[in-house]
Amino acid sequence: MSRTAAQWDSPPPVPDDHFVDSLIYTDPTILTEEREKIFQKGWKFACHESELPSVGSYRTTDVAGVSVVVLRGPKNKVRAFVNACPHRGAPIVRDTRGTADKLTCFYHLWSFNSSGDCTGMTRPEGYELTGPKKETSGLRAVKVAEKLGLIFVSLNDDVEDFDTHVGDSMENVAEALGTVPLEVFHFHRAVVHANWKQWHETNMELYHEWGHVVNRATSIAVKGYHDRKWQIHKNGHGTMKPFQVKYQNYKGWTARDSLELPGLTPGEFRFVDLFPNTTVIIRATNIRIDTSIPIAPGLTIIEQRGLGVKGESSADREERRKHHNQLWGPLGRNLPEDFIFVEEVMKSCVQGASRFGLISRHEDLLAQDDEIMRAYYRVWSEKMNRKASDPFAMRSC
Amino acid sequence: MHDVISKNEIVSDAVEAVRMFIARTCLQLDAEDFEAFLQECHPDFSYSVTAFSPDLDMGMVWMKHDRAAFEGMTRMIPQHVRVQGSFARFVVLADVASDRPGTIKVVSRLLLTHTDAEGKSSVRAVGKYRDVLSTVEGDLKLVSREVNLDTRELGPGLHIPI
Repeated sequence: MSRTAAQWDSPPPVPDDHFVDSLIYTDPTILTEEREKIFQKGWKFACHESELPSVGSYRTTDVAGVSVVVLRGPKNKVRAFVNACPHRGAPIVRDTRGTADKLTCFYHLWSFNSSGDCTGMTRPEGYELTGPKKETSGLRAVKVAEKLGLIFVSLNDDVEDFDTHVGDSMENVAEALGTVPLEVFHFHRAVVHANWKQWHETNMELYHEWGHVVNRATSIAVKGYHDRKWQIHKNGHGTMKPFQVKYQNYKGWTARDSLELPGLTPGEFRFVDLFPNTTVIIRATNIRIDTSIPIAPGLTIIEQRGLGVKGESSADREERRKHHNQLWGPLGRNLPEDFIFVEEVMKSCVQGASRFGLISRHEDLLAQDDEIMRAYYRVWSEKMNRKASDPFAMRSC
Repeated sequence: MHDVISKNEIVSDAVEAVRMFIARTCLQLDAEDFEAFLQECHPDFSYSVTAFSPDLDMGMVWMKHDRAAFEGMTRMIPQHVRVQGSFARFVVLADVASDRPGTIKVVSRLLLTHTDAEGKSSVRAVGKYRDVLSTVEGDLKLVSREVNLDTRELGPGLHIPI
């Protein structure tokens, strides 16, 4: 039966970790705290190793609103720095990628090497009276971790070791990512008018696959889909046993029974969701890495990368890219639908039409169980010292 | 059409015929009348969407279909959850050339707009159509279309061909 306004605005009659209050998506205070307590404290996916192809290569990313430059130095060592000159704060690099023997600030031409040391100050005699000296004017180093070709960075000098942070949650994707050299052949950004967590939810909760005609035909209807169990790490990461997708069930597509990535069987689907906002999805022949950059509560930049095998033949690359583009990329069949799902929900949240979101499905941890969402928001709540279901009723953890 | 097009010489009537042909394909795509669009296409029609990535320093292919795959894609569009509103394509012919009889290469500047359900219009993409046309029994046919995008941020993305 339909409900009154009072009933609609009351918390749903489920345990309080089985729903979220939409304020976690819409309130600016929450995003400010997420930047401070989650993004500045934890690990953020920056790029794939192939995006730093040679010594001197650099790539920029955004961590909690801070521009970070990741670069490959001598002996192939990858380092990262806050992309700001210690002199007056101008960005050291202004493009998203490039190659440089040394980094030179475009404003006053101070220069830095790949270790972040200041190697040159224009007219240094002007600093003899009060300083600073070159020796104390290095770049602000940022922690770097590399795992299976994925490069993560952290602004927190005391961040938990990355391997400890992810535990065994990436074992499911290890062989595909780590056996042969891979490279990024697709990159695009898109602005979604939704909260960054809503986007990550589309990579976590499989119940929404009912909304995708591709997934209804190729996955949900296929034997074994509902037999997989979630494996959830205490840090909010999640993965699941492999599953064979029947791509040929979508009209006009064929099975993915060749060019499988190492360790995979034909049509095999694997993934890992990493807290707070990165997902690696493998669809037999190609890989998508999804990450996001929150701009505002209802505005998020999504970055999507597609990976294939480095040095493969042009025929193999064409086939792999075709598979990637079938679901992914801005013209893929699924991606626009995920955008529409979260943007429409966000509209309801902002308008006040929808106050609560249910994450109360229980299916014994099988595919469409919401436990991954509940685990994610338990970790979120712990870090934020706020309940996801009642974020402005402060609690002590 | 053969009478007015010879190698390396495109006369004004032929250019106008090409202009109207390209414009007609745009109206057909705007109307999502893919059947009519495909009737303008050669049996060997191929379609692709490309963009250059400064982030990767390489070209990307976002879609590549032969005629059968293109047709199959358009038939499935109604089953997808779609961006509401309508799209419109605006083209300006930039170059028309022929390097052999019966084949015309056309480059058009493209603007793709979107008008949402509330009537607000915005530019969704900018790029070029690189078309190859042929004359079949006196009629122009689209042999291939490459949509070469300048725009790499397409918002939610699209289910329809650009």
